[in-house]
Amino acid sequence: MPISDNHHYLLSYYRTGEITGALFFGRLAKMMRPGPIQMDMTKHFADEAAHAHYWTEAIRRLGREPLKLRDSYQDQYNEAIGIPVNIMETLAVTQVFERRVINAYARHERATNLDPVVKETITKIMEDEKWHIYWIKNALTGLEPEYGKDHIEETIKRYWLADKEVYANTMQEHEERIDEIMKGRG
Amino acid sequence: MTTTAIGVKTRIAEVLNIPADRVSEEISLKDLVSDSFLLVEMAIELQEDFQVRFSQEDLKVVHTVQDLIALIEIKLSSK
Repeated sequence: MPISDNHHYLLSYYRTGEITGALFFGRLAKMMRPGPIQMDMTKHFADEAAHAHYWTEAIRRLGREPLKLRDSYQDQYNEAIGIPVNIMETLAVTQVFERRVINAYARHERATNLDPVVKETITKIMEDEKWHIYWIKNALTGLEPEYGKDHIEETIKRYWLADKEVYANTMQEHEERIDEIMKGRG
Repeated sequence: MTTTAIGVKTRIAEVLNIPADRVSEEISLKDLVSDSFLLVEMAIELQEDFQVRFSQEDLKVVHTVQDLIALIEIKLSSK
């Protein structure tokens, strides 16, 4: 049986977000100077692209085609958060965003009667997402001598507050859809 | 025109892949850069080239290429 419209939308939304992430990290990886951040950023880019492929494949296995969605969650960021202007700010905003992604996937994974295809895809992606948080945290620690520990922590805190605002202002429809899925009605 | 101004304009032209003469000092960055990611890229490249560091606060008052040149000159002079 094909997935519901709610699920179809959400999985397509995840796919769009992963594509946006891949494009962002791909461009960043391309401009990075050689070093550990360049290496990890390149893997991060490749992971996000692979995730977009996993969702495309999953949606098709579930009997639908991915929806062509214009905006992703990341697109809402620039307006509320401002453009990150250095590598530390870029990593800080990414750390906040990746935590938001992990929370969203973890919540979805707990849904009642979750289709095994969706569960399998989320589980596979979550492994990479955990590594994303890990490498970004390490990279930010490595930038402490240059930017200052306090300044980095303040930046992350500022982005957390902005993230909450973006989520509250833009994700009402998403919330309603995920609520239905959590109740096993999606 | 100062050496910094020439360097900044040249680098902007390279990052945006446009002729250097399109980068006038009066032009606004919004008119010059349509893609917000290119702004990120440009900001990071300029900081690396000139060995300075911007914050979001610094860039709030930067609207034109001239503002950007002035910011870099201030940063360089305070090093």
